[in-house]
Amino acid sequence: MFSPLATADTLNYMIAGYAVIFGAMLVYIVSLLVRYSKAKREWSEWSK
Amino acid sequence: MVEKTRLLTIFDILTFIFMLVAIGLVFFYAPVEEIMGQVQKVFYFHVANAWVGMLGFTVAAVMGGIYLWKGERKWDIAGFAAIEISFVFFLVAIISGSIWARPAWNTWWTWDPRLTTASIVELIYAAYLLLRRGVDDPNRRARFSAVYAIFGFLSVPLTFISIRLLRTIHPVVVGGADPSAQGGFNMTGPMKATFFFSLFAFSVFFVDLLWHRIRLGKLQEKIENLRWHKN
Repeated sequence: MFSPLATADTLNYMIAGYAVIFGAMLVYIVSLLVRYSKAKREWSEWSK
Repeated sequence: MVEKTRLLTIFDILTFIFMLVAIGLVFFYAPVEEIMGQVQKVFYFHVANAWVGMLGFTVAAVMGGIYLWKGERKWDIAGFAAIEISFVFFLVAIISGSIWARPAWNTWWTWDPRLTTASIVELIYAAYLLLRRGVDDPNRRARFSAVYAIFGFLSVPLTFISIRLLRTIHPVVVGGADPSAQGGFNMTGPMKATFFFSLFAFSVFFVDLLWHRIRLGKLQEKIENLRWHKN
């Protein structure tokens, strides 16, 4: 709970929040790239 | 093969720029809130993540309806893509909200109407992703997914209105908050600008990811068809 008398020191929570946000974005983008390159490889093998 | 178009490359660059601007606004333009301190800045991307989640689930329901009407597989691929992306973003919204809640409510989690309904939405779509994997026949899978996406969507407006209709401690950004809400704040001009730009940037980011995920889905469908014919 926050005190209305002073600004709370919540920097660690902000860092944790943005670590989750940016971390998840990065993981999802990398997963898309990996799956696409895997599918491309599979496509070239099957279409031989 | 599903080649990457020049338009998509341009869209990638635009998305990257918009996201950089949104990050810049959050960290260098929006002021630090007087009572909550730095953690209030999580709010901008927390809401944007939730927005993308709800947007994608809505898109998936519409795609499901179009698939049932037209019967073309491309609508199934688009609906699945929207749900996969939204599932990730909505999960991030729940986790980042929990991190904000710790200093604001003195707890990581509480069974508040908003948190409960948001968890139900996430579980509904987790079940969608799992069940979809269990159906081998592509047409049956597409029909099942379309119907599920439409019925699953009913949980989305319920989550949206839960904090407006029920007694809750979750703050309301747009519209009047419940008197028992904790952690709310009045947005100043720069906060509003940052908030609305973040929503815009995330919407563009969603479209960009959707485009890429649909490309992947189309390629996977081609491989599936090829494998089907060769076996």
